[in-house]
Amino acid sequence: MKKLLYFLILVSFQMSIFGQQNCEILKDNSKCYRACLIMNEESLFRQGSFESQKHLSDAIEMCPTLSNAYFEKSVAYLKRGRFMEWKMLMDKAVELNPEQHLSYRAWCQFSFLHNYEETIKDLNQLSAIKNTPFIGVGQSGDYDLRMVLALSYKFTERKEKAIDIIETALQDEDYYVGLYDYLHLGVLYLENNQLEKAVNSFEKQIEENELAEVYYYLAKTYHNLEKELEAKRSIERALEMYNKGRKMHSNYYQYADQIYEKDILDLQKKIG
Amino acid sequence: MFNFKNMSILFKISRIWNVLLCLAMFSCVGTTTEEKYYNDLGEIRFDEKLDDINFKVCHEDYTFPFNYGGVGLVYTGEKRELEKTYFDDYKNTRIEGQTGFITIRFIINCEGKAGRFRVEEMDLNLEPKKFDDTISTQIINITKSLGGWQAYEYEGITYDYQQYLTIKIEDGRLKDVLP
Repeated sequence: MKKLLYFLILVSFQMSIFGQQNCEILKDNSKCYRACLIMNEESLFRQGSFESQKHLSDAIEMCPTLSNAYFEKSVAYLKRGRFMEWKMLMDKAVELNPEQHLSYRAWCQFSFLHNYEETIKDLNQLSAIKNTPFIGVGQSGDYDLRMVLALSYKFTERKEKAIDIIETALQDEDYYVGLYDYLHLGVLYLENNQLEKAVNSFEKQIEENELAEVYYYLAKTYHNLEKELEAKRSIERALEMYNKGRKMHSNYYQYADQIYEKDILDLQKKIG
Repeated sequence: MFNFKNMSILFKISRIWNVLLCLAMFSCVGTTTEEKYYNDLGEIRFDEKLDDINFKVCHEDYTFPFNYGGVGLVYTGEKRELEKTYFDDYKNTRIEGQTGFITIRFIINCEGKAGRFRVEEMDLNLEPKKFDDTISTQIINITKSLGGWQAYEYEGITYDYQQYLTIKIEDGRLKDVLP
């Protein structure tokens, strides 16, 4: 049963990722209503198959203002590294409906391309449209978009600003606590030489979601604090978790602050 | 060789599924002219002007993206080894304005060998851009030299799959290796 469930999740992920649009709202526009139905039929096919892309092209031809059809069509290009085609289609979707599609474009620029300045532009634009602190969640469901914005500032050498955004967001009762938030905040503190704060953040991360990365960075922090026994224990735990598969992983991109076995072994050698 | 059962099952089912749906719905003929391909948008067909004739694939009509299923990037020594090759071999020279991405798409065949390389160069806005040859040639040659790829095998049968790598360049300097 577990295997079947896993398989069904895989199948569904490779098909339409947003589910079906409610076409009834387009009933007054017969062409767009029909286009919407064709677009929804696409979800019967595997994403990236000829049939799938063809349904979406037909929907676009029939109703050139159907933003979801451009969006759905773009995803297959993205996953195959055909970024120019992806961007052309996503730009069209954003032009037609920025409030709905800016978050996805920002998320992809961040995760697939590490294109941080573009991510910042999109998220700030979305923030201006929504005019609320909470502007959405990244496509993978792992992050509140404020965390994505903060990490984009971090990777463009604005660490103080990144820390400020995260600390403020964590105070907000609407904040969507992601799977790795305290890890990222802890790493920022570590890089900013706020070591005690880093340890506290990593401890929170362990309570929320224990994984190899948090022990790796905790070991680094303890090593900087010259607490060698704790550092040694942490790096051993990092390797144990890594070997068990308790680590950050995506089929599509590398996570911010993700580590690999070599990183653990190198730090272990350094700690001794 | 890595082995991911679900990927193969998935493709077998999707092949049958697509045929059945087409037959049932009579809706496979639409109105637009769509780029033609066998099975997947990312497949790379042989081009005698570009490709090594000795590079063979097992299933010409049946390649799938590396990130479908449950594995993702598979390389001996993981991502760090892949990055090391680029950062060790690429000669950084500061050239202002040489900023953007170079994506190389290719096939890992059923023997775990890479071929049919296709290159796309773009700026940070993902518009087409031509990098200096000193940069793009280096990136292409390093990519072709990578030796840690592994074939995909399931139940004694090996398959070919689509891989891509994107290299981020800032003012002529190597910045990032993706994904």
